[in-house]
Formats: sequence, C-alpha cells, structure tokens
Amino acid sequence: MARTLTDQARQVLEIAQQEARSLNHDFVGTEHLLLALLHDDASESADVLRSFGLDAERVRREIEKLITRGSGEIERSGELPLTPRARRAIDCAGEIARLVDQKLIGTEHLIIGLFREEEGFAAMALSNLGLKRGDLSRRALRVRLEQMKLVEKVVRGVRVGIARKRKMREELLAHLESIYAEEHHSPKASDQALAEAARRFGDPQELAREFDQSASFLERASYHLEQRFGWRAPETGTRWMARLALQMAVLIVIGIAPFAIILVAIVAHALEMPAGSWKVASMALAPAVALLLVAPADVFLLGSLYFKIRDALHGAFGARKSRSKVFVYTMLYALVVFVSGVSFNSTIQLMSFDPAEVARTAGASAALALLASLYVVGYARAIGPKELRDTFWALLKLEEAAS
Amino acid sequence: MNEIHGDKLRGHLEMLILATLERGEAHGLEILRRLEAGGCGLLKLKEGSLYPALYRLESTGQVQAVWEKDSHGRRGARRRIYRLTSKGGKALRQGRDEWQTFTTTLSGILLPQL
Repeated sequence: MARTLTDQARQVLEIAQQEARSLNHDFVGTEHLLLALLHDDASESADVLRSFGLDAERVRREIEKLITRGSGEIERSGELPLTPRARRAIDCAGEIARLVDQKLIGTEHLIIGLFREEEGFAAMALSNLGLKRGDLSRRALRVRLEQMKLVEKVVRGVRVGIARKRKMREELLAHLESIYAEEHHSPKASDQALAEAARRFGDPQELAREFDQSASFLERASYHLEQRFGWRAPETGTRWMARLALQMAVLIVIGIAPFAIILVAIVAHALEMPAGSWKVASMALAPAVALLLVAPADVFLLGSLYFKIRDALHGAFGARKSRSKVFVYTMLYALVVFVSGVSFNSTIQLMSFDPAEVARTAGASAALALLASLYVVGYARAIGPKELRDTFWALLKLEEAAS
Repeated sequence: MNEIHGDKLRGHLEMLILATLERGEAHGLEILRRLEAGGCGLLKLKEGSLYPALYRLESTGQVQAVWEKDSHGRRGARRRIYRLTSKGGKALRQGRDEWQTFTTTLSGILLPQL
C-alpha cells in the first residue's frame, strides 16, 4: 500500500487480526475490519453508526448471521493475510482520502471503503441494517466536507483559471483545517469548532469578491478561455467532448476558409486550369477536408476514451478499479488513433483508399498508435487524481436542500 | 484601546505582510500570527483576507510561494510558504519611507502641540 494510515487506522488493522482469530478465521476480511472499527465504543466510527441508530452490538450480530465461525483455533502464528476484498476496501479508502486532500488513511475513510466493497460481508451487513452508502459517506466525512464547502463558497465564483483555483482550494483548506484544529478542544465539540473556524475565516462572499478583484490579467484571460472551451460543471465528460468537437469544427472552418480561397487560386494558377474545376478544388482542399473530418471526431472519441481510462484506473465516480477495463479502453484508444491516421492519409491523397499503401505503413502506424495510447495511460495515472479532485470540488453541493 | 478592523487596514495590509516576511519565510497562518503578535492583538483581520493580498503580492513579484515539502505531521492539505523577493524588499523600504512622511505630516496636524 503506497498510502499510509493514521495511528488509529493502523490500530484498527491490528484489532482486526484479533477479531479474525476470535472467529477462528485465518484471514482478515472486510467483516473483521468493520468489527475492529467499532471495537472502541468511543471511536469516531462508532459515533457515525450511532447517528444512524446502530450500535456495535447490532452490527456484530448482523455480521455473525452472514459468516460461519471457523472450526478450530487458528494455529498460524504471525500476521493473518488480508483478503483481496479487504485489500480493495483499504485501497478505496486511500482514494477517498486523496479526493478530500488528506494524506493519511483514517478510520473515516476506512468505513466508507468497506461499504464500497459491495460484495464484502461488511457492506452486506451495513446494507442489511438499512444504511445507504451516500448517507454514511456524508456522515463520516462531515467535518471535512463542511470545511471544503466553506472553501468552495469562496472559490467557485472567482473568475480565475483552474490552475489558480486548485492552489486556492488547497491553500485555503490547509488554513481552515489548521484553525479548526486550534478551535477543536474536545471530540464532541466539532460543530462549535467549525463555526468558530468559519467566523475567523471570514464571510465567504466578501472573500470571493476580494479574490476576484485580486486576479491578474493572465488569470482572468485563462478564466475566459476555460469558460468557452473548458469543462462546465456539472456536464458529463462525454457532453463536454461533444461540445469541444463542435467548437473545433467551427474553428477549423473559420480558420481555414480564407486560406482555402488563396490555395485554390494558387493551385489553379499552377495547373493552368479554371479554379472551379473538381481537380483543382480537391487538390487544394483535401488537407483541410481531412482535418475537418478527422479532428473533431478524434477530439470526441479520444477525449471520451481518456475519461473512461482515467476513471477505471482510479476507480472514480463509484466505478470500480479495473485493469481489464483500462486495457480494453487503451486498445480502443490505439485503434481510434490508428484508424484516424489512415483515414487522414487517404483523404489527403484525394480520397483514394489504397490497401497496399495502408498495409505498407500499417506497422509503423500501429506502433505510433500504441505509443500514443500508452502515453495517455501514463497521463491519466499522473494527472488523473488532480482532475478528479477538481471535479469533486466543482460538484460539491453548496446549498443543501432543507433536511 | 480600540481594535483595528480589516477595512481600516485596506491599503496597508500588503506592506504589513511584506514587513512580517522580512523576518523570514512563512505560511499564511504564521504570517497572521506574526501580525497578531506585532499588533498586540489589536489588529482584527478576517483570516481569509490575507490570501487575496498574498496573491496580489505574488502576481506583482513581491513575494514568491512554494508548496511546503515537509508536512510537519499534518495529514491534510499542503500549505504554501511565502518568501520576500528583492522586489518586495524594495517595495517595503519605499513603503516605510512613505509611511514615515505620512505619519509625521498628519501627526503635526492631528496631535496637540506640546
């Protein structure tokens, strides 16, 4: 596991070992982790479940209904291994921690991770007890989400580009969590600490205005650019790419039209043929037509596939992490690059589709396509988490419906 | 004595920040602490307002910021560390001179002559 655990979370993993042994199991599954989370009645996780009217005892009984106790005492000494599901649950907890800008995996992330691993006994027990995943997540991350919402109330309306917003969000959140910690004197007084931190922080609308007035020219320019071409929350990635493809087609037409006329004139002059003839027009305009046919389609297809790759890679938006999905989408990506390269070429060569020519260059094209798709996977790996955080921030619901 | 609130600091906040950074690089909360200590608790500033001022100083090249590398045992979001640039140092000296002129001129009028 690349990401590390808080002391409490580490303790939970240790207690889970005992829970497993006491049930005569020689592995640590999600059910043992859940029991361990509730082991201490004063723990935060126990508190979270209590707020849904569940106590540790009821959860334990529910789990015991689902599992069978092992037959004999476990001989095995040393650490019991985690089941793949337990491993995935912890991994998922890590993704959640990263999403809310926390470096270490805490018990609040663990309980959500356990519930997300749907086929695990922990998740089954919690659903059987009538819990909803969204409710539990919101409750477990409550303090963090409140801090993030306050920051987002400041940041969302400020007219600067996403790069600046990213900095603002993290820096303001760091500040807010520090002053929250200063005001947080007892575990029970989190609401009071939140209110006090918010008071010290200042009125979000006023702060938003100050930030907006402080934006530099470049930041304002990138804001306007992104307004036109960037993602407009809360549209889907596919919709964004469709819009971008359309915008691109329009831009190509506008950008090329003046040159096209000149080009036709030049070609007509060189061939000493009338500008209106089919041959002149097709020779002069083939590259432009090729671009117009291929580029928008590529933007849409490759962009959408990129999102699929990224989300499967990081298990984003409730999707499960899946290497096989990443592989399939990556191969599709390579295929699209390959096909669009071939069709671009044949269009340039005056709509002549020459199988022999395609076969001759196929190897090189395929290699290039594969390289491009590998690059994209690398990009999704490195930049994906950042993008997912941006999305999470932008989709935070600031005005809660009265509940 | 009366407290001094944010709106009266307008126009001076940037100089005050530069002055605190003269004592060495610092993150936002640390800058606020220095301001508070320097003002004997009479400076009342909405803490969030520090950052727009820092961003203005950053975009005019008077301070430079980097993300902190060491998390100092904190498990959450990273802070940014601000450092005075030579341009900021120059602006600070100039600001001090202006302040000096300003206060001596106004004191001559406002304060009862002894």
